[in-house]
Amino acid sequence: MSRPVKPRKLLLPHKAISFVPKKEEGVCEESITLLSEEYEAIKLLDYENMTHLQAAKILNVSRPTLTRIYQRARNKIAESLVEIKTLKLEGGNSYMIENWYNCNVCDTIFNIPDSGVFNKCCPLCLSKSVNLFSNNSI
Amino acid sequence: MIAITVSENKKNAKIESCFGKSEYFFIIDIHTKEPYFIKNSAKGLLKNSGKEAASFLIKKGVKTVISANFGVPVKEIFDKHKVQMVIISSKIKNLNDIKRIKNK
Repeated sequence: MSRPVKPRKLLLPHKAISFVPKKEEGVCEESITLLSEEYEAIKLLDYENMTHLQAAKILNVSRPTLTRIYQRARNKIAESLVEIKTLKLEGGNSYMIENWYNCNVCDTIFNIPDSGVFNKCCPLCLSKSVNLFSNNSI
Repeated sequence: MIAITVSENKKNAKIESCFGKSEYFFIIDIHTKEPYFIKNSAKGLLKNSGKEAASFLIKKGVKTVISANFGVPVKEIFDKHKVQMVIISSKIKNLNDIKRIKNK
């Protein structure tokens, strides 16, 4: 039996989102799922221009594992572009290193740097309807 | 103090999607209740614009930063100085969409 995959560490949360191609006729029914760790690899390497080693340390994986995650992510994005498929950002085997909260009213995500002063209130709309942002919502 | 990343110094300014590349910061002083704009001097930098902007806001005494996206180096600085990060939803496009500002 193969070794279970170690969960990847995420520093910042992101919402589940879909990129739907605009077709001349009909709706795009086929889709590809980009996992949270694959999205994070693309963000760290291509958006923040980090080296593979720096990104691997952030995700808490080895450099070769990071390269495999990144390659998988690139293949999925390429497939979505070439074969005109919807790209969905969801799922993945990852965890957040700190607690982030989600406001049920304005959908804002926020952290509490000093948990001692947490008054369970959204910093944006001041609503008290907030809950813990979990990996399930990614 | 609260800082919001915006594209221009107008009351209905668009919220910038990237913290370091933001044109202006909309600052709300909780004590004086007087909101004002500050230009982001780090915007034109080719490298470390996020880090520079973060240090600038910390010197100003900002304790909460609202933006659509933060980079890892920025998060590290804010974590070190216990600055709260707020990631707005894609439904919020400009300053007028923020209830807290509307009430000012």
